[in-house]
Amino acid sequence: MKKFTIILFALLIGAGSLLAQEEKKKDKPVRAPFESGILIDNQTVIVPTKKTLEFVIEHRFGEIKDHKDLWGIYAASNIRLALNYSLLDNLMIGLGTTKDQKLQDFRAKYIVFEQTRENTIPVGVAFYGNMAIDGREKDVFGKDYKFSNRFSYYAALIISRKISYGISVQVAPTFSHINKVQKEYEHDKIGIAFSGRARISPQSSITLQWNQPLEIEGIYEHHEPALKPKANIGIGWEISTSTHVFQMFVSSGRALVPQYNMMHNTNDFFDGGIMFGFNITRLWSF
Amino acid sequence: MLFTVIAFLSACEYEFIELKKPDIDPDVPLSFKSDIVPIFQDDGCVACHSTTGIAFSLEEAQAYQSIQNNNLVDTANPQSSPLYVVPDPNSAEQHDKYSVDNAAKVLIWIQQGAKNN
Ligand code: HEC
Repeated sequence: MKKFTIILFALLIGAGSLLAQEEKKKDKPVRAPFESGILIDNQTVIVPTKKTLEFVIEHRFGEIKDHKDLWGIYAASNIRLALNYSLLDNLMIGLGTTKDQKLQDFRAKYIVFEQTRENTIPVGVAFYGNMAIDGREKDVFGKDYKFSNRFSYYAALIISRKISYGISVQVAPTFSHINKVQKEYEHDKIGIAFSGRARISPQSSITLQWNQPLEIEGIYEHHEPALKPKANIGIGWEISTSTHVFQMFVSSGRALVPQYNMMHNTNDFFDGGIMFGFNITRLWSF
Repeated sequence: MLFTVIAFLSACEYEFIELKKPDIDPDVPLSFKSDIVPIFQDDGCVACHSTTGIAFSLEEAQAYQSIQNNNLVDTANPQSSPLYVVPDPNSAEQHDKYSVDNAAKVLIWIQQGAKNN
Protein backbone atom coordinates (compact mmCIF):
# COMPACT_ATOMS: atom_id res chain seq x y z
CA MET A 1 0.00 0.00 0.00
CA LYS A 2 2.72 2.41 1.03
CA LYS A 3 4.78 1.76 -2.08
CA PHE A 4 1.72 2.14 -4.23
CA THR A 5 0.95 5.60 -2.88
CA ILE A 6 4.55 6.74 -3.19
CA ILE A 7 4.55 5.73 -6.84
CA LEU A 8 1.19 7.38 -7.41
CA PHE A 9 2.38 10.70 -6.05
CA ALA A 10 5.71 10.49 -7.82
CA LEU A 11 3.91 9.99 -11.15
CA LEU A 12 1.46 12.80 -10.57
CA ILE A 13 4.16 15.26 -9.61
CA GLY A 14 6.43 14.11 -12.41
CA ALA A 15 3.64 14.66 -14.92
CA GLY A 16 2.99 18.06 -13.40
CA SER A 17 6.52 19.30 -13.83
CA LEU A 18 6.68 18.09 -17.45
CA LEU A 19 3.58 20.05 -18.30
CA ALA A 20 4.96 23.09 -16.52
CA GLN A 21 7.98 23.16 -18.80
CA GLU A 22 5.76 23.59 -21.84
CA GLU A 23 4.47 26.84 -20.44
CA LYS A 24 4.88 29.83 -22.75
CA LYS A 25 5.97 32.96 -20.94
CA LYS A 26 3.57 35.40 -22.67
CA ASP A 27 0.37 33.81 -21.46
CA LYS A 28 -0.31 35.21 -17.96
CA PRO A 29 -1.94 33.25 -15.12
CA VAL A 30 -5.69 33.73 -14.61
CA ARG A 31 -6.66 36.23 -11.95
CA ALA A 32 -7.82 34.83 -8.58
CA PRO A 33 -9.45 31.49 -9.35
CA PHE A 34 -10.30 31.50 -5.62
CA GLU A 35 -10.30 34.30 -3.06
CA SER A 36 -8.11 32.63 -0.49
CA GLY A 37 -5.94 29.62 0.23
CA ILE A 38 -8.77 27.98 2.12
CA LEU A 39 -12.33 27.14 1.12
CA ILE A 40 -14.40 25.74 4.03
CA ASP A 41 -12.18 22.74 4.92
CA ASN A 42 -10.18 22.45 1.71
CA GLN A 43 -7.00 24.08 0.52
CA THR A 44 -7.27 25.89 -2.80
CA VAL A 45 -4.60 26.41 -5.46
CA ILE A 46 -3.98 29.90 -4.04
CA VAL A 47 -0.75 30.87 -2.28
CA PRO A 48 -0.50 34.53 -1.18
CA THR A 49 2.35 36.46 -2.83
CA LYS A 50 5.90 36.15 -1.55
CA LYS A 51 6.60 37.51 1.95
CA THR A 52 2.94 37.56 2.98
CA LEU A 53 1.97 36.47 6.45
CA GLU A 54 -1.50 35.03 6.80
CA PHE A 55 -3.40 34.59 10.07
CA VAL A 56 -6.22 32.06 9.97
CA ILE A 57 -9.02 31.39 12.47
CA GLU A 58 -11.18 28.34 11.79
CA HIS A 59 -14.13 27.66 14.05
CA ARG A 60 -16.74 24.87 14.10
CA PHE A 61 -19.66 24.99 16.50
CA GLY A 62 -21.43 21.93 17.89
CA GLU A 63 -23.92 19.88 15.93
CA ILE A 64 -27.17 21.62 15.00
CA LYS A 65 -29.83 19.81 17.04
CA ASP A 66 -32.31 22.12 18.70
CA HIS A 67 -32.80 25.56 20.19
CA LYS A 68 -31.74 24.54 23.73
CA ASP A 69 -28.10 25.13 22.90
CA LEU A 70 -28.94 27.70 20.19
CA TRP A 71 -28.45 25.13 17.41
CA GLY A 72 -25.00 24.15 18.54
CA ILE A 73 -23.65 27.65 19.14
CA TYR A 74 -23.40 27.00 22.92
CA ALA A 75 -22.21 23.43 22.50
CA ALA A 76 -18.63 22.23 22.67
CA SER A 77 -16.83 23.66 19.64
CA ASN A 78 -13.58 23.15 17.80
CA ILE A 79 -11.16 25.90 16.86
CA ARG A 80 -7.85 26.21 15.01
CA LEU A 81 -5.48 29.20 15.03
CA ALA A 82 -2.77 29.27 12.41
CA LEU A 83 -0.07 31.29 10.72
CA ASN A 84 1.06 30.78 7.13
CA TYR A 85 3.99 32.45 5.44
CA SER A 86 4.75 32.61 1.73
CA LEU A 87 8.45 31.98 1.19
CA LEU A 88 8.02 32.31 -2.57
CA ASP A 89 5.19 33.31 -4.85
CA ASN A 90 4.42 29.62 -5.23
CA LEU A 91 5.46 28.18 -1.87
CA MET A 92 3.78 28.61 1.48
CA ILE A 93 4.56 27.04 4.84
CA GLY A 94 2.43 27.18 7.94
CA LEU A 95 1.72 25.96 11.42
CA GLY A 96 -1.41 25.77 13.48
CA THR A 97 -2.93 24.59 16.71
CA THR A 98 -6.34 22.96 17.16
CA LYS A 99 -8.49 22.42 20.24
CA ASP A 100 -9.76 18.88 19.54
CA GLN A 101 -7.01 16.37 20.36
CA LYS A 102 -4.65 19.35 20.91
CA LEU A 103 -3.35 18.88 17.38
CA GLN A 104 -0.25 20.81 16.37
CA ASP A 105 0.19 20.87 12.62
CA PHE A 106 2.79 21.87 10.05
CA ARG A 107 1.97 22.31 6.41
CA ALA A 108 3.33 23.31 3.04
CA LYS A 109 1.67 24.19 -0.23
CA TYR A 110 3.45 24.41 -3.52
CA ILE A 111 1.96 25.70 -6.78
CA VAL A 112 3.22 23.42 -9.52
CA PHE A 113 1.75 25.62 -12.25
CA GLU A 114 -1.12 28.04 -12.76
CA GLN A 115 -3.96 28.09 -15.26
CA THR A 116 -3.32 30.77 -17.89
CA ARG A 117 -5.66 33.31 -19.47
CA GLU A 118 -5.21 32.09 -23.04
CA ASN A 119 -5.65 28.47 -21.99
CA THR A 120 -2.06 27.50 -22.85
CA ILE A 121 -2.36 25.71 -19.54
CA PRO A 122 -6.02 24.84 -18.96
CA VAL A 123 -5.79 24.00 -15.24
CA GLY A 124 -3.91 25.08 -12.14
CA VAL A 125 -2.13 22.46 -10.06
CA ALA A 126 -0.84 22.65 -6.50
CA PHE A 127 0.48 20.17 -4.02
CA TYR A 128 -0.46 20.38 -0.36
CA GLY A 129 0.89 18.32 2.51
CA ASN A 130 0.66 18.45 6.26
CA MET A 131 1.83 16.61 9.31
CA ALA A 132 0.07 16.83 12.65
CA ILE A 133 1.05 15.88 16.19
CA ASP A 134 -1.69 14.70 18.53
CA GLY A 135 -1.04 16.51 21.82
CA ARG A 136 -3.27 14.55 24.19
CA GLU A 137 -1.98 12.87 27.34
CA LYS A 138 0.12 9.88 26.41
CA ASP A 139 -2.18 7.35 28.09
CA VAL A 140 -4.66 7.58 25.21
CA PHE A 141 -2.09 5.90 22.96
CA GLY A 142 -2.09 2.80 25.12
CA LYS A 143 0.72 0.31 25.49
CA ASP A 144 4.19 0.75 23.95
CA TYR A 145 3.88 4.48 23.65
CA LYS A 146 6.41 6.35 21.56
CA PHE A 147 6.34 9.91 20.32
CA SER A 148 5.69 9.00 16.68
CA ASN A 149 2.35 7.42 17.72
CA ARG A 150 1.10 10.99 17.67
CA PHE A 151 1.83 11.68 14.00
CA SER A 152 -0.63 11.84 11.14
CA TYR A 153 -0.30 13.01 7.55
CA TYR A 154 -2.34 14.34 4.65
CA ALA A 155 -1.38 15.00 1.06
CA ALA A 156 -3.46 16.42 -1.77
CA LEU A 157 -2.79 17.12 -5.40
CA ILE A 158 -5.15 19.98 -6.18
CA ILE A 159 -6.31 20.53 -9.74
CA SER A 160 -8.36 23.65 -10.37
CA ARG A 161 -10.18 25.17 -13.27
CA LYS A 162 -11.54 28.70 -13.41
CA ILE A 163 -14.45 28.16 -15.78
CA SER A 164 -15.67 31.74 -16.04
CA TYR A 165 -15.34 35.05 -14.21
CA GLY A 166 -17.60 33.80 -11.46
CA ILE A 167 -17.20 30.05 -11.36
CA SER A 168 -14.17 28.04 -10.29
CA VAL A 169 -13.95 24.36 -9.40
CA GLN A 170 -11.32 22.12 -7.92
CA VAL A 171 -10.78 18.44 -7.53
CA ALA A 172 -8.07 16.87 -5.42
CA PRO A 173 -7.10 13.24 -4.94
CA THR A 174 -6.00 13.00 -1.31
CA PHE A 175 -4.12 10.58 0.87
CA SER A 176 -4.52 10.45 4.64
CA HIS A 177 -2.57 8.44 7.17
CA ILE A 178 -2.68 8.17 10.98
CA ASN A 179 0.20 6.34 12.63
CA LYS A 180 -1.64 4.73 15.52
CA VAL A 181 -5.34 4.01 15.50
CA GLN A 182 -7.85 2.01 17.47
CA LYS A 183 -8.13 -1.68 16.73
CA GLU A 184 -10.19 -2.42 13.63
CA TYR A 185 -9.68 1.10 12.28
CA GLU A 186 -7.69 1.80 9.12
CA HIS A 187 -4.37 3.64 8.90
CA ASP A 188 -4.69 4.88 5.31
CA LYS A 189 -7.47 6.47 3.35
CA ILE A 190 -7.63 7.70 -0.20
CA GLY A 191 -10.24 10.34 -0.87
CA ILE A 192 -11.42 12.90 -3.36
CA ALA A 193 -11.92 16.50 -2.30
CA PHE A 194 -14.15 18.61 -4.51
CA SER A 195 -14.59 22.37 -4.04
CA GLY A 196 -16.35 25.06 -5.98
CA ARG A 197 -17.42 28.63 -5.77
CA ALA A 198 -19.88 30.76 -7.68
CA ARG A 199 -19.59 34.50 -7.40
CA ILE A 200 -22.85 36.31 -6.63
CA SER A 201 -21.40 39.84 -6.35
CA PRO A 202 -17.93 41.34 -6.81
CA GLN A 203 -17.05 40.50 -3.22
CA SER A 204 -19.13 37.49 -2.32
CA SER A 205 -19.57 33.93 -3.48
CA ILE A 206 -21.52 30.79 -2.72
CA THR A 207 -19.08 28.06 -1.74
CA LEU A 208 -19.39 24.30 -1.82
CA GLN A 209 -17.28 21.32 -0.83
CA TRP A 210 -17.70 17.57 -1.05
CA ASN A 211 -14.88 15.55 0.47
CA GLN A 212 -15.48 11.89 -0.12
CA PRO A 213 -13.40 9.18 1.56
CA LEU A 214 -13.21 6.22 -0.83
CA GLU A 215 -13.89 2.68 0.29
CA ILE A 216 -11.33 0.71 -1.70
CA GLU A 217 -11.46 -2.92 -0.62
CA GLY A 218 -8.10 -3.69 -2.20
CA ILE A 219 -6.27 -1.53 0.30
CA TYR A 220 -8.22 -2.45 3.43
CA GLU A 221 -6.11 -3.80 6.25
CA HIS A 222 -9.17 -5.32 7.87
CA HIS A 223 -11.75 -7.49 6.29
CA GLU A 224 -14.37 -4.98 7.29
CA PRO A 225 -13.17 -1.74 8.90
CA ALA A 226 -15.02 -0.79 12.10
CA LEU A 227 -15.49 2.75 10.87
CA LYS A 228 -16.41 3.83 7.38
CA PRO A 229 -16.03 7.60 7.49
CA LYS A 230 -18.74 9.85 6.10
CA ALA A 231 -18.26 12.53 3.47
CA ASN A 232 -17.48 16.01 4.72
CA ILE A 233 -19.93 18.16 2.81
CA GLY A 234 -20.26 21.90 3.22
CA ILE A 235 -22.13 24.79 1.71
CA GLY A 236 -21.64 28.43 2.55
CA TRP A 237 -21.05 32.03 1.78
CA GLU A 238 -17.74 33.84 1.33
CA ILE A 239 -17.04 37.57 1.57
CA SER A 240 -13.63 38.85 0.60
CA THR A 241 -11.61 42.04 0.55
CA SER A 242 -7.99 42.42 -0.47
CA THR A 243 -6.62 41.47 2.95
CA HIS A 244 -9.51 39.60 4.58
CA VAL A 245 -11.66 36.67 3.77
CA PHE A 246 -14.68 35.68 5.81
CA GLN A 247 -16.43 32.36 5.16
CA MET A 248 -19.62 31.14 6.87
CA PHE A 249 -21.08 27.73 6.20
CA VAL A 250 -22.76 24.59 7.42
CA SER A 251 -20.67 21.47 7.07
CA SER A 252 -20.46 17.94 8.42
CA GLY A 253 -16.77 17.62 9.31
CA ARG A 254 -15.75 18.81 12.72
CA ALA A 255 -12.00 18.23 12.52
CA LEU A 256 -9.82 21.13 11.42
CA VAL A 257 -6.87 19.03 10.28
CA PRO A 258 -8.15 17.30 7.14
CA GLN A 259 -6.89 13.73 7.72
CA TYR A 260 -9.16 13.40 10.76
CA ASN A 261 -12.23 14.25 8.66
CA MET A 262 -11.24 11.89 5.87
CA MET A 263 -10.58 9.06 8.34
CA HIS A 264 -12.91 9.52 11.30
CA ASN A 265 -15.86 11.71 10.34
CA THR A 266 -19.09 10.15 11.63
CA ASN A 267 -21.47 13.01 10.78
CA ASP A 268 -23.87 12.35 7.95
CA PHE A 269 -24.69 15.64 6.19
CA PHE A 270 -28.05 14.30 5.01
CA ASP A 271 -29.02 12.92 8.40
CA GLY A 272 -28.66 15.91 10.68
CA GLY A 273 -24.90 15.69 11.18
CA ILE A 274 -24.22 19.32 10.39
CA MET A 275 -22.81 22.31 12.24
CA PHE A 276 -22.24 26.01 11.72
CA GLY A 277 -18.70 27.14 11.09
CA PHE A 278 -16.66 30.08 9.97
CA ASN A 279 -13.15 30.88 8.75
CA ILE A 280 -11.43 34.25 8.91
CA THR A 281 -8.14 35.07 7.25
CA ARG A 282 -6.06 38.23 7.47
CA LEU A 283 -3.04 38.99 5.28
CA TRP A 284 -0.04 41.20 5.98
CA SER A 285 2.58 41.87 3.33
CA PHE A 286 6.17 42.69 4.13
CA MET B 1 9.92 18.13 -4.09
CA LEU B 2 9.71 14.47 -5.03
CA PHE B 3 12.21 13.73 -2.31
CA THR B 4 10.13 15.44 0.37
CA VAL B 5 7.04 13.55 -0.72
CA ILE B 6 8.83 10.24 -0.40
CA ALA B 7 10.44 11.16 2.90
CA PHE B 8 7.04 12.20 4.15
CA LEU B 9 5.26 9.02 3.14
CA SER B 10 7.93 6.64 4.32
CA ALA B 11 7.58 8.10 7.82
CA CYS B 12 4.18 6.39 8.04
CA GLU B 13 3.79 3.79 10.76
CA TYR B 14 1.06 1.21 11.16
CA GLU B 15 0.30 0.61 14.84
CA PHE B 16 -2.81 -0.13 16.85
CA ILE B 17 -3.80 1.25 20.23
CA GLU B 18 -3.91 -1.35 22.95
CA LEU B 19 -5.13 0.30 26.09
CA LYS B 20 -3.20 -0.09 29.30
CA LYS B 21 -5.12 -1.35 32.28
CA PRO B 22 -5.36 1.64 34.63
CA ASP B 23 -4.06 0.86 38.14
CA ILE B 24 -7.46 0.96 39.74
CA ASP B 25 -8.58 -2.06 41.67
CA PRO B 26 -12.20 -2.78 40.66
CA ASP B 27 -12.77 -4.50 44.01
CA VAL B 28 -11.99 -1.47 46.16
CA PRO B 29 -15.23 0.50 46.53
CA LEU B 30 -15.08 3.98 45.03
CA SER B 31 -16.87 6.82 46.76
CA PHE B 32 -19.09 9.10 44.74
CA LYS B 33 -18.30 12.13 46.91
CA SER B 34 -14.56 11.75 47.19
CA ASP B 35 -13.65 9.92 43.96
CA ILE B 36 -16.22 10.86 41.31
CA VAL B 37 -17.37 14.40 42.10
CA PRO B 38 -13.77 15.75 41.99
CA ILE B 39 -13.49 14.36 38.44
CA PHE B 40 -16.31 16.65 37.31
CA GLN B 41 -14.20 19.53 38.67
CA ASP B 42 -10.79 18.34 37.43
CA ASP B 43 -11.89 17.46 33.91
CA GLY B 44 -13.75 20.73 33.48
CA CYS B 45 -17.29 19.34 33.27
CA VAL B 46 -18.74 21.96 35.62
CA ALA B 47 -17.68 24.73 33.25
CA CYS B 48 -20.70 23.75 31.16
CA HIS B 49 -22.74 21.44 33.37
CA SER B 50 -23.51 23.86 36.22
CA THR B 51 -26.69 25.28 37.72
CA THR B 52 -26.48 28.17 35.28
CA GLY B 53 -25.10 26.07 32.40
CA ILE B 54 -26.12 23.40 29.93
CA ALA B 55 -28.60 20.52 30.32
CA PHE B 56 -27.82 19.43 33.92
CA SER B 57 -25.51 20.38 36.79
CA LEU B 58 -22.56 18.22 37.85
CA GLU B 59 -21.70 20.51 40.75
CA GLU B 60 -21.29 18.71 44.05
CA ALA B 61 -24.72 19.62 45.40
CA GLN B 62 -26.69 18.45 42.34
CA ALA B 63 -24.44 15.87 40.67
CA TYR B 64 -26.07 12.69 41.96
CA GLN B 65 -29.60 13.97 41.44
CA SER B 66 -28.75 15.08 37.87
CA ILE B 67 -27.28 11.70 37.03
CA GLN B 68 -30.44 9.98 38.26
CA ASN B 69 -32.93 12.39 36.68
CA ASN B 70 -31.25 12.24 33.27
CA ASN B 71 -30.66 8.46 33.29
CA LEU B 72 -26.94 8.96 32.78
CA VAL B 73 -26.02 5.62 34.33
CA ASP B 74 -27.18 2.16 33.35
CA THR B 75 -26.08 -0.23 36.10
CA ALA B 76 -27.36 -3.23 34.13
CA ASN B 77 -25.09 -2.30 31.24
CA PRO B 78 -22.36 0.01 32.63
CA GLN B 79 -20.38 0.21 29.37
CA SER B 80 -23.25 2.00 27.67
CA SER B 81 -24.00 4.56 30.39
CA PRO B 82 -24.03 8.06 28.87
CA LEU B 83 -21.97 9.30 31.84
CA TYR B 84 -19.22 6.92 30.70
CA VAL B 85 -19.65 6.82 26.91
CA VAL B 86 -20.08 10.50 26.06
CA PRO B 87 -16.92 11.80 27.80
CA ASP B 88 -14.86 8.62 27.22
CA PRO B 89 -11.57 9.68 25.57
CA ASN B 90 -11.83 6.75 23.16
CA SER B 91 -15.41 7.21 22.05
CA ALA B 92 -16.24 8.93 18.79
CA GLU B 93 -18.52 11.41 20.61
CA GLN B 94 -17.75 15.05 19.92
CA HIS B 95 -17.70 16.16 23.49
CA ASP B 96 -15.20 17.20 26.16
CA LYS B 97 -13.40 14.17 27.56
CA TYR B 98 -12.33 12.60 30.85
CA SER B 99 -8.68 11.69 31.29
CA VAL B 100 -8.09 7.97 30.69
CA ASP B 101 -7.79 7.16 34.40
CA ASN B 102 -10.88 9.12 35.30
CA ALA B 103 -12.92 7.39 32.60
CA ALA B 104 -11.88 4.06 34.13
CA LYS B 105 -12.89 5.27 37.61
CA VAL B 106 -16.33 6.38 36.43
CA LEU B 107 -16.89 3.00 34.76
CA ILE B 108 -15.86 1.09 37.87
CA TRP B 109 -18.08 3.26 40.05
CA ILE B 110 -21.04 2.45 37.76
CA GLN B 111 -20.15 -1.26 37.79
CA GLN B 112 -20.15 -1.11 41.58
CA GLY B 113 -23.76 0.04 41.45
CA ALA B 114 -23.45 3.83 41.01
CA LYS B 115 -24.06 4.41 44.70
CA ASN B 116 -24.35 7.82 46.34
CA ASN B 117 -21.64 7.07 48.89
C1 HEC C 1 -18.03 22.91 26.52
C2 HEC C 1 -19.17 22.53 27.30
C3 HEC C 1 -19.20 21.14 27.91
C4 HEC C 1 -18.28 20.56 28.74
C5 HEC C 1 -16.95 21.13 29.24
C6 HEC C 1 -18.80 19.26 29.10
N1 HEC C 1 -20.02 19.07 28.49
FE1 HEC C 1 -21.18 17.44 28.66
N2 HEC C 1 -22.45 18.19 27.28
C7 HEC C 1 -22.38 19.44 26.74
C8 HEC C 1 -23.46 19.62 25.81
C9 HEC C 1 -23.75 20.87 24.97
C10 HEC C 1 -24.19 18.42 25.83
C11 HEC C 1 -25.45 18.09 25.04
C12 HEC C 1 -26.61 18.47 25.91
C13 HEC C 1 -27.93 18.09 25.33
O1 HEC C 1 -28.02 17.90 24.12
O2 HEC C 1 -28.84 17.92 26.13
C14 HEC C 1 -23.53 17.54 26.76
C15 HEC C 1 -23.96 16.26 27.05
C16 HEC C 1 -23.40 15.47 28.04
C17 HEC C 1 -23.86 14.16 28.37
C18 HEC C 1 -24.95 13.38 27.67
C19 HEC C 1 -26.28 13.67 28.26
C20 HEC C 1 -27.34 12.73 27.69
O3 HEC C 1 -28.49 12.96 28.04
O4 HEC C 1 -27.00 11.82 26.94
C21 HEC C 1 -23.10 13.72 29.41
C22 HEC C 1 -23.18 12.39 30.14
C23 HEC C 1 -22.16 14.76 29.71
N3 HEC C 1 -22.37 15.81 28.84
C24 HEC C 1 -21.20 14.70 30.69
C25 HEC C 1 -20.11 15.54 30.77
C26 HEC C 1 -18.95 15.28 31.59
C27 HEC C 1 -18.80 14.11 32.53
C28 HEC C 1 -18.08 16.29 31.35
C29 HEC C 1 -16.65 16.45 31.88
C30 HEC C 1 -15.70 15.51 31.37
C31 HEC C 1 -18.71 17.21 30.40
N4 HEC C 1 -19.94 16.70 30.06
C32 HEC C 1 -18.15 18.37 29.92
C33 HEC C 1 -21.42 20.40 26.99
C34 HEC C 1 -20.28 20.19 27.76
